[in-house]
Amino acid sequence: MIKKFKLAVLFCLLLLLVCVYLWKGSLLVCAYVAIVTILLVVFAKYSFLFVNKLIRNTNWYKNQFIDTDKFVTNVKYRTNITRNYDVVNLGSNPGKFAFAYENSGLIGANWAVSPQSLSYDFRIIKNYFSYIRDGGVIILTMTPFGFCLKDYADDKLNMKYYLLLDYTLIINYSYRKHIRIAYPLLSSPIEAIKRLIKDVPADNRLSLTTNPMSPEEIEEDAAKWINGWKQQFSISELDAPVSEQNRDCIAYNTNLLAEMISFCLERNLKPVLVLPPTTKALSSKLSESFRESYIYSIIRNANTHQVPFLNYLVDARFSDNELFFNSFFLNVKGRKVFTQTVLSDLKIV
Amino acid sequence: MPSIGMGTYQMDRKTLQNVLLTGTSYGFRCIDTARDYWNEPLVGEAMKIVQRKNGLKREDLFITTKIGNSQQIIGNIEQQIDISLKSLQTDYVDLWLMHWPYPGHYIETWHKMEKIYYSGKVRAIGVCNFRERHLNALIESGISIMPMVMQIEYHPLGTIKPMIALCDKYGIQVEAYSPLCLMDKRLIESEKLKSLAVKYNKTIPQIILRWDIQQGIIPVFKSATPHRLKENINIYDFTLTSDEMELIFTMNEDYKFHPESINCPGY
Repeated sequence: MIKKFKLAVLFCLLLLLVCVYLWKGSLLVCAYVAIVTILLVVFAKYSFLFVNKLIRNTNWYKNQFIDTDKFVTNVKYRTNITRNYDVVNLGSNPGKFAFAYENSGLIGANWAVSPQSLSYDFRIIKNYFSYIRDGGVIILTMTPFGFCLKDYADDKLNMKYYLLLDYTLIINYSYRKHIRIAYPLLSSPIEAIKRLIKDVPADNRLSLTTNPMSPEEIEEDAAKWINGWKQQFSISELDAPVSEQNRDCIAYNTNLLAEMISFCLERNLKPVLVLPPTTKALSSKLSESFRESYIYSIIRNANTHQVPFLNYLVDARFSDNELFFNSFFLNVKGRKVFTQTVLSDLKIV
Repeated sequence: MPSIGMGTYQMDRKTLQNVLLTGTSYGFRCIDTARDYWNEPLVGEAMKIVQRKNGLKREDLFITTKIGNSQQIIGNIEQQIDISLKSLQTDYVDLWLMHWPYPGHYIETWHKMEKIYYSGKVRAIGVCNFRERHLNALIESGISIMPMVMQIEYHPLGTIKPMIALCDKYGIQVEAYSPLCLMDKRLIESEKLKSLAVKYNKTIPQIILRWDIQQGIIPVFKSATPHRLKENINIYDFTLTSDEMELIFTMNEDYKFHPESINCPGY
């Protein structure tokens, strides 16, 4: 594609020179026009690259790809020698905000990406598992409604994976999209320039150390989450039997989870299923019958290999709202306590 | 099969010709390339120059190439070897390897490679980067030819003993790629290797390559520097003791420079 673009530019230049020659009939003028045009093209190219680089440094751009730079890459391989992780975790936001391995004494990595489906958890495992040591632990983060989600319909949510997965693993991959990600000035020029002038705030949720919400706000936030999920997954009543639409998706994810577990075991990795805690305000809205229909029964069906399932959804050790930054996600303090708890429960620290 | 080989990955035309000319003049005969190195035509061109300038015949050289993942996915393995032969300007390759055990394809690819072996276009066939489970699955699928060679990342920081033992069990010749692990600082700064280098008046790479050879493993290293080529083949005039061999084994950290799942997702 780049080669074609270069050829097109060259062709245009030649065409221009032919036109100038036919018009002026002078080779000297042609040479002058050629030099000026080349200088303009070079200037345009470097200006474009410079502005594009500035755009990639905006919070607007970084927020879209916030979880992509934490993966080990082959770039700068001589210094980038992290291998043999003792423990990694996958997951969507609940996983992202639940685990932090600093000071755990283990080599760990949080490979959760927000938001993320179970199928992309598997794709990340397929792409990165050989960084994990033989016998290392893979935490698969379970979520209350995660089994109702097949993959996101919005193709934009596949974009972040262009920066971290092999192209064969990306849904609806195209090289054109890949280029557009690398050059946001091409893909969304107006929005990009706008954000260059007036940027959006950086996503700093990972660094929140306290819960800024009052108990009332936490209640409201929990209700908002529940209503959002009910709408997203077309659930009118949480305690009602699982709808036909969700049954298909749940069957798909049950098979997928079973496959992921087998994949890990086959490679001598230890998969562990973990359901992180939420505030009481949120967990109390998920009745026992809901949990059974939408979480526990699915895990039982998928977990034919009987790998450990650690359930912290309702756990008195995490009943303090100060461990969260809203009704759902753990903050820095909560993450530290929770990670230590999980690692202790797994007896790997 | 020669006991040491030269890699050709990521070399431009001039460098490649220089390396092959210099290397063969020092005695190297084994040249390693791959379809996915995108340099088979350059290797073919350089081999012709080597034959002409260094007075070698085709049969004096041992050429290895590999079939890549994308060709495995396409599946026309029979045509792929013809493309390689044309690019390499030869009518046979000495060793044809499967570059990665590409999930869902590698067993079928192997069966097709077996057929090509019988055609005479390749003198030997083998695999690269297999783990125990891949080799076991391949054998269980019912093969008529056992892989003759296994090329795999192997160095003092990653000694993959179970895999080597499995290769021994099936009589598979092991070739070590990245045998010097890109001279990782854990090797350069190793007191163990330094002491052996001093004792034998050799360099650390020479000690490591000798360690390979004494295990019966064929190191395939890459260097574009003539004096290193000369140095790396000058390893046949000393012998490490069994204690010294073991000492090097103690450096194992199960480290892999090439994370397999990055190169071969789902590996």
